[in-house]
Amino acid sequence: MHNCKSIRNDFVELAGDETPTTRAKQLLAEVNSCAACREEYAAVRRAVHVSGQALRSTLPTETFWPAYHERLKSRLASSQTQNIQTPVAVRTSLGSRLLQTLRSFASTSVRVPVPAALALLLLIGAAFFVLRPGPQTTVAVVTNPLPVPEIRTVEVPVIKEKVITRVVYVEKKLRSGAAPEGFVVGSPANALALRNASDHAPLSLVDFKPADEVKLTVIKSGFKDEKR
Amino acid sequence: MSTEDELIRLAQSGDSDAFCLLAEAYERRIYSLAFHYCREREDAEDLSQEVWLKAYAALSSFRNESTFYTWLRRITINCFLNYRRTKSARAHHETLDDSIGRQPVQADGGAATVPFESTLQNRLVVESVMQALACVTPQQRLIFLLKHQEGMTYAEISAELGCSLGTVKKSVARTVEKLRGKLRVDDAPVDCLSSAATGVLR
Repeated sequence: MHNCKSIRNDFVELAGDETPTTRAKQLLAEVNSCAACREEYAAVRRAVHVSGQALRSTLPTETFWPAYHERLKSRLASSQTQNIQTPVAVRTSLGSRLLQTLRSFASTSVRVPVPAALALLLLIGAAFFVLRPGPQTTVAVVTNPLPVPEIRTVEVPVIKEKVITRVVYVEKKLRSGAAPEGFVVGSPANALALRNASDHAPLSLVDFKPADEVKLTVIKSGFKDEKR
Repeated sequence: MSTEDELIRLAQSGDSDAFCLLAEAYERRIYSLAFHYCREREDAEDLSQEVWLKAYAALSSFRNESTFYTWLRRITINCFLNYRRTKSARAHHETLDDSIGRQPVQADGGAATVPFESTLQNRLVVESVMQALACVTPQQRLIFLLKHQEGMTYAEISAELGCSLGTVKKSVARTVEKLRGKLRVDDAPVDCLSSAATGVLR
């Protein structure tokens, strides 16, 4: 059964001659049976071969090479003189060679698999906890012991207070004493009239000054619906 | 004993002229590889000459177990990897257009030695390839170059770079994907891309 998606994964390898011969024949037969795959494979082949040809053919002109040769010769000559001088220098300074070796060791990157690195880190961590010195036991020499504190029980009288709460309802407008004349406190009709009056004369807080003291008059048994 | 073997023997005994003759035989390949890898002319020259200096210093270790070029390519890859490590430390923000502009490839007098780039069309193809290679990571670029410029197999690349075969395959596939995008080969007829390239196309 031809599957375009799966076969196309092999096109780059096929174009790069990386597929074994028998498999390549199978693939090519399959490619030829499908127009879309044939197009796709042709595009891959074109890309691979054109780029390969371009890469292989890109070279500097012939005028470039004599100068290149001269530079290479001079560098080789200078490296040769360094090689001649180097053994003497190495023999004289063993410390610098050791330092160089250590430096190269420090700068060399070593590929370590992630699990191995993690295991190594865990091992180092465990070793650190195991081998670290235990808590130091300090022996304190008591030369002048402190006096032992004396514990006494002292009875303190507790004053118990009894709190009595009583709820008193007072109408707010009458409390401020702003009721018009002829009003009787608690009358529903008067309350309505008072509300209407206040609607006509809008309230203003321009000259309002808060009083230092609030005088509150509590009239006991003043209303029928007062709760006792 | 071939001429190359004789040159190697002379170079191993300290004859730098013999080594220069050896270098002459392979310098174009090494330089080209270096140029495509680092995409800058000055760096390519430094890098390729570094390869030759390393090869000269290590020539005594060459035991004819492989071809000289295989041995040299191993040194080249190591140099490239070291270059990448040092290069990654500094910022590398030069645009590709600059590097293309500073390419040593010139149209004047170089047509005979640069057959692919002899036409403007082919120059454009080369630029597109370079742009596509600039879009991938250095490792992916190196893997692609080793595969399609050097002709190494996936297994050889994997062994040389010390990475898995899957990584090599994915790297090549990723780079080919970029190349397809840059070269626009999907919808273009073959002869529009390059007359020089049509010879290898089916």
